[in-house]
Amino acid sequence: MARRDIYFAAVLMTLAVLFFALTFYFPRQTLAMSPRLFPRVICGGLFFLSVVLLFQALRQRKIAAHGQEEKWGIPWQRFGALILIAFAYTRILEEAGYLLATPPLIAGVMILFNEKRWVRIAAVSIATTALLYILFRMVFRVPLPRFPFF
Amino acid sequence: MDAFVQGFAQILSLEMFPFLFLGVAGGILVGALPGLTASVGIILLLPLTYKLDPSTGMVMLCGMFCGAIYGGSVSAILISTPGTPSAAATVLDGYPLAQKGEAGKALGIATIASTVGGIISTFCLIFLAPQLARIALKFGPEEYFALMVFGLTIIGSVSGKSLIKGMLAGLFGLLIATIGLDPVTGYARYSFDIPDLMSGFPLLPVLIGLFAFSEIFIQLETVAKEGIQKITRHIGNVWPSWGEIKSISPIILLSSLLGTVIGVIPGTGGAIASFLAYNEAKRWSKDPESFGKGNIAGVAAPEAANNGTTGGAMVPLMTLGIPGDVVTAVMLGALLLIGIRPGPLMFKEHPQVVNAIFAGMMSANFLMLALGMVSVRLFPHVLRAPISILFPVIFALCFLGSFSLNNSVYDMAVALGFGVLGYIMRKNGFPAVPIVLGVILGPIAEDELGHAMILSHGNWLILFQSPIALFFYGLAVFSVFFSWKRMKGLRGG
Repeated sequence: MARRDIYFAAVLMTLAVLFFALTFYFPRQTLAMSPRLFPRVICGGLFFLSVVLLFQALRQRKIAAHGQEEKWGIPWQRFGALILIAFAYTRILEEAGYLLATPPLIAGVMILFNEKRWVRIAAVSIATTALLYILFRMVFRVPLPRFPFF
Repeated sequence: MDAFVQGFAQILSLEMFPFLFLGVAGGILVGALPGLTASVGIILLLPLTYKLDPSTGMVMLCGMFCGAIYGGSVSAILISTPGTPSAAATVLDGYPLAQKGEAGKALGIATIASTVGGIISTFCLIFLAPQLARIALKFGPEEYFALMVFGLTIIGSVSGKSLIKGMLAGLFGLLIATIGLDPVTGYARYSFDIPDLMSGFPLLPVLIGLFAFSEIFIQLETVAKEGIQKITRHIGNVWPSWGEIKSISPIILLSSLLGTVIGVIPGTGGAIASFLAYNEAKRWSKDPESFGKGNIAGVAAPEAANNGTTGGAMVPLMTLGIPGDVVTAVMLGALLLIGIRPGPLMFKEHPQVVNAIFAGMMSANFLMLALGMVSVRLFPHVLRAPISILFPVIFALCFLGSFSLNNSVYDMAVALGFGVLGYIMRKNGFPAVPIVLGVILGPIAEDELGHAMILSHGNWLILFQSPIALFFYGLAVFSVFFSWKRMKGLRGG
């Protein structure tokens, strides 16, 4: 965890410096308080605490020098696949329409959650799509994207 | 009193009661399933709340809140896994009772204790909140700014194991909140002329991403398990005997009051209340050695206390606009989403919503008792729900929910992005709640600060001239110090 904390600290410090630098493009004091003030105070706090986290992580790394770094435990392949499926859904939703795009999304996520029974996958995907359609389109009257050809 | 009675009449109407029922039943279900917390339950209902009348929406959310906190006891008792953090102490005696074949009695006692705790805390809410709101009406922008500073320091209390990481998460939330229009001058900050970024990140997708999506990503790690757990426990008799009720009544009453007091203190919550109540019940018991082996008081005390926090936590939320615990932090987001800013003005400008919340909280507890006792034999079946169906359905619901706010694919992308961010941060010990607190309270704090500066013509001393403001700054310092000591104690202990 110490090594990851060092990375996080570095990212947050970079973010703080970047956001602070961008405040120079904001207008100076217009009323009693400038739009620069709040972001600068936050960036200052973020930078300071990131430095504290960095020192803590470096000290922890020294103490645990001979130990093994704790693994992330993220199932990268499944996680990556889930993000890909979700991202693809956001891309095709407006082109294909809600009724065509949603069952593959649900089916894909079920497969990633280790569902192997195809009948169950198909039934749950279609039933959930239909129920959500009824709820959002008919009960709450939220217009949902439609396939342009029907 | 008339207004309260009117609130009740509204609750029982055909327009509102089905949503109260949905909230309570859904809450019990959500709370019972490990991996879904009261916060996630409220977020799942947010897209629906947005489409309803504000009073109806809030009644539904109150039902979810009360139901979910109680529902956590179901899995705590049946499978030794608390459904919500508030039910962690219930495992200690609830599960041993189930192992002895008395799961039904344990669930019955949990239901009764939760109901009493919820009712007592709701009475406190109804009597205390209007009085506090009257005092808070006298606050000016400098007092509100100090209050927001205090509200932000409760980040320390919800920071989990690392105060530094919690504060970094809070500051990150504050930084995200600066993207978009400055609340004082209207200047578009960090927008890079991108129209979507000019209004900042919409709150609902941020909440959905940080809580619901990140939780689903975490559940992906346990995907190898088939369902949650096979439950073969026999439920048996649900109602405790008259002698047992008599013996635990004082504990239930005292734990309910303890839970209410703890709930009123911002940054605490059901988990702290339930453990404190359990420890006190054990300390004052004539037979402390029996705790941990199936003592019914060991179930009654934490359950009365954790539901006792529900009404208590609504007090600072409704009167001051600062959340009492994690769940009310999400409720704060819900109120802002439906266009109501919680605080003393809510009592003046939206009295019908206030009355609906009071009547809703009270009705939810009674409904929870009825539903809990009637459906207790269904609980083992609920816990068999396979995660390969549950979480994909929730994923789709959340995606559609984030789309439905503005009919915008951008909002879906925001939810997904914050889901990934929330997951990676949580895997590395950065809690999600401080980010939400920063996103919600940051703009309010900046707005109040701006108003104070305008009124004082740029004189910063105005922030330190009010005794009430100084009181809140003092509370803020104490809150940070207390959090630091607690973290130090946890690490050393």
